Amino acid sequence: MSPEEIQQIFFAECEESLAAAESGLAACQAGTQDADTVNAVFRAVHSIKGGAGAFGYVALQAYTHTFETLLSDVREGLVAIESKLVDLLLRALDTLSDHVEAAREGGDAPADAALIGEMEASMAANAGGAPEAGVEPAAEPEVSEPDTTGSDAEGSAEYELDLDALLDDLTAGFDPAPAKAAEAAAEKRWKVHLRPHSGAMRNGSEPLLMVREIASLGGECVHCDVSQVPPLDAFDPAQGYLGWTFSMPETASEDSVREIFDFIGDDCALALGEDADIPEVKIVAAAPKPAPAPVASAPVKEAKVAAPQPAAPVAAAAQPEPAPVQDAPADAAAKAAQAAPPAPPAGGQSIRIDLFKLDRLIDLVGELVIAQAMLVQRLGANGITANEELSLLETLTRDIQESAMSIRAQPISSVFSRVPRILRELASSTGKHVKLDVIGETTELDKTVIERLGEPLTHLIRNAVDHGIESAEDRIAAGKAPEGTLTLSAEHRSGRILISIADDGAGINRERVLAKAVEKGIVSAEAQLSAEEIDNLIFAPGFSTAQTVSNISGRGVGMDVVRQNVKDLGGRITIDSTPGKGTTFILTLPLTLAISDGMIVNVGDQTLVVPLASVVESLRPGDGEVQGLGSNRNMLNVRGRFIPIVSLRSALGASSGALTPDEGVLIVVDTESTGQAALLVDEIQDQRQFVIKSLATNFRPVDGVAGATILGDGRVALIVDVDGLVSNAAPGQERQAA
Amino acid sequence: MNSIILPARCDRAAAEAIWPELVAAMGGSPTAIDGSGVEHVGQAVLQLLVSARRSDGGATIAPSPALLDAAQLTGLTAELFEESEL
Repeated sequence: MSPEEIQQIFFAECEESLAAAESGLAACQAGTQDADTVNAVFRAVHSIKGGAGAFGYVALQAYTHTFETLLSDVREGLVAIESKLVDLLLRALDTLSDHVEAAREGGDAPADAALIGEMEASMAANAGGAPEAGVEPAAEPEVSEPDTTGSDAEGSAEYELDLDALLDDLTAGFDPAPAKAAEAAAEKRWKVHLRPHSGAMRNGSEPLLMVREIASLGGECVHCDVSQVPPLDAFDPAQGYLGWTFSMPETASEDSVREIFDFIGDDCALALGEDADIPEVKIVAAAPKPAPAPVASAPVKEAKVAAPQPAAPVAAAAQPEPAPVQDAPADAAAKAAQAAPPAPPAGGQSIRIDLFKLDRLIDLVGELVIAQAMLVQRLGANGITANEELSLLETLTRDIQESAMSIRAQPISSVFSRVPRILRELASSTGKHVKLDVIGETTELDKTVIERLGEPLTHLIRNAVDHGIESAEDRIAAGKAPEGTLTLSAEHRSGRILISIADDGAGINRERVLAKAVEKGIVSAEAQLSAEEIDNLIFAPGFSTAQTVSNISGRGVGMDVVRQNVKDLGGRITIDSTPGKGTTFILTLPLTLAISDGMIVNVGDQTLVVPLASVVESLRPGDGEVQGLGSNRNMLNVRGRFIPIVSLRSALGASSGALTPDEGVLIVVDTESTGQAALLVDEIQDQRQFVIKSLATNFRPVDGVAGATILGDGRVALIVDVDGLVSNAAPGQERQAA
Repeated sequence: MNSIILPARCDRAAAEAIWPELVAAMGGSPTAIDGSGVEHVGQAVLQLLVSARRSDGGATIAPSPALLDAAQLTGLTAELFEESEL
């Protein structure tokens, strides 16, 4: 592994640490101020500091040192947790994240002098004027200890060395006799009791390394407590069950033993002294774990085991028969995979994979889906339709596809976790304090979608705070709480994800929006618009109603960009606003960008795919529902509303196919830019999932075509870019008529 | 008799991989655990072996020098190995 790769891992871990610290501090702010929470924040900052030192990021390391020292004071209870302090810590965390960013991008470190001063003031003020000196990060309140250095220091050093050598012999399984002699020489020994908890084995830590350190200090294991080790059925590899008592020579000081455990903190319980005992076992309730994947690296040879299942029912403890394992055929495993909890288990194992490899896998799975469809079609042509193996293959293909997709899925919390910082910055610039409610942050969606969601979401949140939520005075006058509330929620709904950003502000001022739109020439003064249509005007390019243009929002470049971003993701954005009550923006997004649902339609001899996301309904027009307009345009009357009919045949220049509505079927589609339209096709063939292949990558961008897919018979079908097609088609038809 | 071979690196990840296999393999019958290729061993696998030894059916463990060393270090020699195997 190259240093660059290790550095990449460091920054990935920094992200995780920052998120952990952020959530810890958020919990502190919400009132959870127990030792575990503070410790989690401390550890996060501590690990960033460690990495910063190792990679030589001096500014980052210096800054984290101060931050960590303050946190250490908080952890030791020297500094009381109050809202002012939490506020300071949050600001310190924001700057830390800037520092990390600067280190990663190689930019200038942020100005942190003022903040460092503030942090130092907080520790000095509370810790009684002893800020730096005694507060080393991992320092524990020390028990006063008889000093063992002194006149016999030399002798003891010699003795220690000797014992180490003997101990090596002992542990290597050689003749233990000399060790016994050494033991006899060590008259006054004292005891160390330890019990590593589950955390001590996480992230590559290994308790045995510490045990080895103890042994190197001259410690000898006098007792290993195995009484807590459960039977195999109830065993959890993530827990620590063993505890030890070591007998230490007098020459090993308590400090030196404590030092060994400094780094691991509370993950290993430690008790010193003759009277103490091995600390209690602490079983951490693990999050529901998904089935241990039968990974390729499974290092065990055992032909009998087909699908390792962690089921381990307790009942089986009485009659441990291999039954529970054999009861787990492939489809049960598949079901388990489907029902896998959306949230990754908190302490679960993870591995880092190059995204390229993952995308390659997804591509291959896409090919598999196509190959499977081709096989079905080929067999169908030979009269083999319903057979068991085929449907099993289909189920498996779908499961593999879903699993592959779920590897790319990430909880949306990685986007939501950035919101508190945005709100803090907004609070300091606008003076509006906003409470944040987050619902469904464990909802998972594709990594690419998540990455590209950040920007539109930030815009929407800034807008909600800047324009939506009123000032404290106005809120009180309107009988609301002075502090506004922003609610973020995410949920899965029928194969898509729904993200809503709701504020409890004043709602959209439709009169002003309309007046502004007329003033800017976006709509004509005579236009009769519904409330919904007025709301949607804020997405028009160049629209802004802000009285003053602030640096937060109000330049009118925001909302149309937001809509474009969401549209690029294959999603839609809608507004629901109630005057006086607030505004909700709802984003509907696909779960993945690689596979989508579509309507397979025929136009002449061509097969096309219309993305289901834009389809509203399909219909055959009845008598009198189609009205001519001008020379060659037709309008469809859909329950009293007229929408233009776009013939796919003329729009795409196909040589045959339906030209008039009575020859085919109309599909009513929704577009972002030009409202609804009806696409005229010959017939609707099917509705199914399709694998999206980019035309831009494999060929070149084509107007009106969003991409291509491969059909079951191996033919390529173009995916219709509904938006582009409809906005291009209207003038095109006129040209054709001329 | 079922048999299971331990990997060279017996860390926590290995313990998580071995555990379901052990549960499946043991099922009341004695199991031979071949640890002769073990080069590194951690607490997770050690306690898993203790659990296997104590479970119905029992298990015999063939140790490597590294596994013996770790057992001696942690005071588990008697718990893990038969007298005759040492």
